[in-house]
Amino acid sequence: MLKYIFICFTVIFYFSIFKIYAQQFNTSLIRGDFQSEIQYYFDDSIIGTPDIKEKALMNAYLNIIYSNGHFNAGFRFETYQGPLSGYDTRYKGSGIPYRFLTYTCSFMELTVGNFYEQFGSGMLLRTYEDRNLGIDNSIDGVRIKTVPFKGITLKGLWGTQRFFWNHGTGIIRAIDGEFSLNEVFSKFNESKIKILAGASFVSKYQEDIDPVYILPENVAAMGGRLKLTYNKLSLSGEYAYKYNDPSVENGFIYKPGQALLINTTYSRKGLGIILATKRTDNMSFRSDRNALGNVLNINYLPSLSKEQTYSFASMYPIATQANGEAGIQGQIFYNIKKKSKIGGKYGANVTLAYDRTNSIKIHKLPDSTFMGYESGFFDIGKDVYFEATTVEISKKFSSTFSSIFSFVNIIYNQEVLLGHTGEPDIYAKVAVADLTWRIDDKNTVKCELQHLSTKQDKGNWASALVEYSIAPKWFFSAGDQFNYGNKLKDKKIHYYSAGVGFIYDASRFMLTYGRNREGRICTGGVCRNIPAYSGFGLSIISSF
Amino acid sequence: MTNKIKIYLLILQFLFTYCDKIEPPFTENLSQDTSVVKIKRKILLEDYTGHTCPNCPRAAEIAHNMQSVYGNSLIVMSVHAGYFATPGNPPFNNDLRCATSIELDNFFGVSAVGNPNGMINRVPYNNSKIINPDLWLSAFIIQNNNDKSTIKIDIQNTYILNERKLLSNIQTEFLDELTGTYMLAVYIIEDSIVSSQKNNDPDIGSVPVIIDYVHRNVLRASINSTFGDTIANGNINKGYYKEKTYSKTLNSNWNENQCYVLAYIYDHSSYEILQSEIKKIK
Amino acid sequence: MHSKKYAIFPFLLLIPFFLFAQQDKMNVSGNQALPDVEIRNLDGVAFNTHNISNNGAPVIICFWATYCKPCIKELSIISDLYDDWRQETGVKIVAISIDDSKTIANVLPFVNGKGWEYEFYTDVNGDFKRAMNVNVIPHTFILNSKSEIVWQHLSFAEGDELKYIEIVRILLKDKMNPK
Repeated sequence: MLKYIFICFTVIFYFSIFKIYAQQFNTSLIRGDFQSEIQYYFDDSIIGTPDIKEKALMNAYLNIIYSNGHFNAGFRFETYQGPLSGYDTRYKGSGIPYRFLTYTCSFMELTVGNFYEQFGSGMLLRTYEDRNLGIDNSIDGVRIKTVPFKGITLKGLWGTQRFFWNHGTGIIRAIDGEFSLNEVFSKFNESKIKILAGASFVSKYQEDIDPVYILPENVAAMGGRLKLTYNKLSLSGEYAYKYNDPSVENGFIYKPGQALLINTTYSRKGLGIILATKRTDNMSFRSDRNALGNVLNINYLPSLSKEQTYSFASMYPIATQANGEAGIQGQIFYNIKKKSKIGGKYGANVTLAYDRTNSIKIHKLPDSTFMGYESGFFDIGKDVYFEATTVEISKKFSSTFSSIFSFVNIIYNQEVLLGHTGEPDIYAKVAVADLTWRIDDKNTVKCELQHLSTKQDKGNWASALVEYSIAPKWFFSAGDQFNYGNKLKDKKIHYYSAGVGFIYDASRFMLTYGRNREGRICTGGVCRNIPAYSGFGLSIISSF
Repeated sequence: MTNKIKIYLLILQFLFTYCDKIEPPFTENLSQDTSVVKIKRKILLEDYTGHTCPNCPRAAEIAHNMQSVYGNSLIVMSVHAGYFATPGNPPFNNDLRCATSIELDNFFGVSAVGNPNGMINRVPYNNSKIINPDLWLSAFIIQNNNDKSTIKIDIQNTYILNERKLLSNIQTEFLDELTGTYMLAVYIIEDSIVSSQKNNDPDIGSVPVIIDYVHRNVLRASINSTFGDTIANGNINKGYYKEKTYSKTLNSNWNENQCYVLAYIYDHSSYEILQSEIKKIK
Repeated sequence: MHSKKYAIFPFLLLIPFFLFAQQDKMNVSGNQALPDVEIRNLDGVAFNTHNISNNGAPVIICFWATYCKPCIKELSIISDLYDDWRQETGVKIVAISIDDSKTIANVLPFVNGKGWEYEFYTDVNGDFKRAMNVNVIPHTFILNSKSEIVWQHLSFAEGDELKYIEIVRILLKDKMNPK
């Protein structure tokens, strides 16, 4: 235990000294940020909380970046004193899983240590950190970025991925090139058509020790992308192909994988339209073929759906099916002008969104072929995984009263998305009224009313949340989510909560109390399950 | 400039060699060496399963195929536990779980990872005790090649028909020097229970439900508790011998003609199984 | 078991440290230059963050995303005041979207749909966000005439925008009457 206290104090001590010292020189700079989430857990048999022996758990992160001229260096200290309930317990412990040194000059940038990188949309390679989801798949190795001619960017990297407090067994080697036509050729500089093209190649190595399968030790994947912009229209597409990559996730099949993503947008002032489509087939790509869950992913395959923000609208979130899915999405953003008939004095804003994700149509092959299945490039299956239709209107009625009304209709295939075989699809309708009264320059009251109705799962829910804020320092909140429609009498539960927050410039302290329902949070189709919990929480976030 | 391009092309070429395209056959040529005759180590495959798990029949098929090839050195035990094993509406109202299966599943956290999954002698493969069915054969072969028998188990069963009472005498002999704490666990396994099972593999049976599915090697109960009794402790000499006798009354809905006694010895510190044996009760 | 609880104490002890470290941090001369990171404009063309400037006038940098309600509130409220602010102070708002590749294609139609008129960039894999030590959004920075960070603020509540413009006014005053 003393070890952790010692580490903390040492870090802080050197940091303070260093900060004072560094500020003597104009060229060097030190910055940092700190986040700590502490939760004290109560036993709450009504909501069915798991038994937490430690009673209180904590995650904390400290980032320090030092820069001086051409050099940047930094590290992140992480400690999980029992990771918070719902995080992978393999995080338990403390250490510095992320540190880097970057040298930058006019024509290149060299990084050694850990880094985050993304090629194109990330369907071939993306490493990132998402603390909410407990994801950090940074690559530890070497990366070089260079600009040989203006408008051309080349990147190359080599390394292994973070795996909790270790590294994954696989080695990643990758290159990416991007080409901006308008910058490369001076005569296109002012052209109305803007063209951006890119290509990537990613290869991973993992030793084959398996006595049964003849496994590819080097697995390559490659892809290309193109973005065309003409006036208000924009079209972008990306395609990726992966060679044979048998893994636990795909059931050790030797079938190649592929993915396609197309986005079209049109927008002018007051109107924005987007149409997108996506198909992935056997595109799970990890630096360890035995990995499952949110670890050692090389690529990122976001689901094609609107990111829902209200708690009931996100109660049934889509999770990406890396083995195969096909999706479409359409969204319209429209601004009704001020002083128009419908818009009233302050105007209004309307968002319409529809998205749907289906299975891909497959023809199963015998196990003896080790190829899994066949699927034509445009074959779409009949099973609906997820569908959401969203209508959202935000309207200001007077200088002190504004509102957002949102209606979402969701179809959720829990058989596929949750693995709950035999359970019926969930049809849910969510209505939200988000009302804000601005009492004066500093005091604001916000009231959020939500209702979810469904005949499946846990039945209907209603919730009310009131927030009171005193700008720029304080906010208070109190709310209740009530599962009044649950078929089981003893499961008609109130999930009450209250919180107070204090903000001082770039620091925020927040104390919460209440019950939290069991559920899963998803960002971009990547999910983490959270068991029900009850108790006090303290969150500290600070940048300095 | 052209030099630069050449370098980039060279890098590209270099990288492209970093891809192995495997052509069929995708598996090694597996031949079984049966020339060595000594006390064979028998390896225990625990298949964690459930009747509403549609992928599970395929896993059971994998285990069954392995048994038909490696029958002398492989024992399979189906452990029904977790979400998919919970009894529900007919035809899934049968409960194939038992206190021992639930305790094992909770202890090793198998169904929490997902079904189907299994363990091979509870020895980690790719750093995990919990092994995906596609890798059972691989993990088994590594165990089987590492063929050192250190303990001998003999089971003698007596079955008293009118009382449905089983007396099981288990003799164990350590054939090498060992240190540590070793436990003996004894279970009852019932083979070929006919009951409904969800299925998504048309090669195995009807989809989505097989009404008369044959559940093989189902763990029914423990005879001497889930984690068994200590049989040896400390520095154990070569030739160390221990004998235990247990009795158990069979449940009325078990078919005694299909019941077996399974005994296995494991290392208390790692839970890794050193030896297993199985014998029909009558 | 008990010793684990004490693990939080060193962190609790840090609270005053952060509080005082932040006290009246707004020194107009500021020595925190912007980091050197590549972001992209809405056409997808690369742009280096050290080029963020406003011809000697202050800049407000807002980190936001299309799925972040308080961020949208912040940018919407400022949008109504932006013309007045520009006329009075010449301040420029640079909005950095941290939408990842799932929602990045929405950014351009979204901001057009809202009718916002800021300078927009996307930071698709959070490189700039990390370099600026941003943990959660909304997170707002105010830069002086030399594009140095002089003030930052976490989260957004209605009324915060008045604090922003107050700081911009102080910056301008200070520029006219240098010490």
